[in-house]
Amino acid sequence: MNEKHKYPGKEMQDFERFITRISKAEWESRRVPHLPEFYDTFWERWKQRFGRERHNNSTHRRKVLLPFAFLRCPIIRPVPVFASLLMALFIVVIWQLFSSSQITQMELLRLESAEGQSPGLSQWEEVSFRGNRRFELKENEFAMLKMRNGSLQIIVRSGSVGTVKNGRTLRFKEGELWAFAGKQAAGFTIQTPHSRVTITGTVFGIKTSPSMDEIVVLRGKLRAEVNKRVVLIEKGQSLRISYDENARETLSLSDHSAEPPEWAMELVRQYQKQYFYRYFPSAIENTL
Amino acid sequence: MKFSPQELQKFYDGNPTTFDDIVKRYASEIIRFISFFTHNYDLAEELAQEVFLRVYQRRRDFRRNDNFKGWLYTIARNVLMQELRKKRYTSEVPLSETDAARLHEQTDSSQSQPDKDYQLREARQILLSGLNQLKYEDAELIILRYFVGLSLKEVSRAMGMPLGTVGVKIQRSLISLRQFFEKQGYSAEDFL
Repeated sequence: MNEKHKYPGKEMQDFERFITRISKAEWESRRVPHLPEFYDTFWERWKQRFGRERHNNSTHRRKVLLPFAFLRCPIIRPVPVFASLLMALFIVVIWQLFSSSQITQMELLRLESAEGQSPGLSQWEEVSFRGNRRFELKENEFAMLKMRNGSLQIIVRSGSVGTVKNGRTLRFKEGELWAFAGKQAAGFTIQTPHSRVTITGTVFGIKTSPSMDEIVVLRGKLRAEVNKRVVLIEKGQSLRISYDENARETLSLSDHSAEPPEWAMELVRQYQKQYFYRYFPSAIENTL
Repeated sequence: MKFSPQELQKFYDGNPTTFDDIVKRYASEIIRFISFFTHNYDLAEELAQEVFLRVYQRRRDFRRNDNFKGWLYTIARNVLMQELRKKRYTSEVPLSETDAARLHEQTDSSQSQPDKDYQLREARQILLSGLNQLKYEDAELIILRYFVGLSLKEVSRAMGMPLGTVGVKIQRSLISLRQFFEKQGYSAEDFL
């Protein structure tokens, strides 16, 4: 029989009470005979061992901590914590304000002449902004969106509608754009009504309308997300996403050997000619 | 009496007054606990002094949420074990009836009334003999739990064992002790 189950629980409880009773009686009967002498001897030994050490320690501690004694005050004690939090907040704000890989500038070009003709350089109008910026271009307007470090340049055609969100995302509702991106622009996202494109350092164009999206990649690779499906578009390929009357989606990936349209290239060339030394590092130049 | 967190903080900071309170509160307990194993009060007192000196020296190791009594008995056990190893009489531990009788003489002489309850005295003698039959560690557990009166949590801290293990080991030791009592002619009615 298993030893553990030999006695019922009730009997063991009785036995435990019995043991407790006689143990207590035994414990109480063992009184320490010379307790006062014990204390005297103990404190003598304590002084011998710790008297000098304790004195030295406390003096040293007082000297070291004296300049920081105010920190022991319960009112002042939380101050360093708040100061640290404020400092962290300050760093985050500064980072957001001066981070170079954000779109913080937009330049508008109003054409007096017909589309396709060379514009006058003095007609570029610079608009700086923080956070979000919505644009709705008229028939005679072009826009250029730029990152502070010059690694991304997006030419937006007239009649386009979109919003720049926090400098890291472009919500492109309608129209046509061409992007010239360097490696530092990796991670920037362009969101259209039908797809989501993440930049990895490429030259590409997007044309979007309520019923169709067309993404053309001229250099590098592009990662496009369409309804949670990821499509990798390589150099010289174009992806077309179209919707019929019943909202049925069709995806077609085909080869494309075209260059960027003349209007976009002309705008970039003209712009570069004037602002090259100020705004365009080699990253942009290499992509063109 | 249990020490409050503020008092323990003072002890941590090295306040001699609080430390004096601690010594006064626990000295008798610790001496009695050690005397169970050394069978010698002079040696027990000397070791208890060493225990308290070590407690003061290592006060910074005591964590705020730790169990103070458990921590104290851990140090007491360590000092005791060190001494027992030095003297090489671990195999003789824990108890002998002659030592117990000597201790009784010491204590009974100071009492005005002699212990008239013969049965209780006999049971105490059998319990001490029964503890001799147990392993050293099991006897230590029984002494801490029932003689000193520590809670299971405090015993667990003092012995450095998980709480469940302590419970199981104590239960098994109790069964062994009960069997020993039954061999001496005790029955279930005697335990009521």
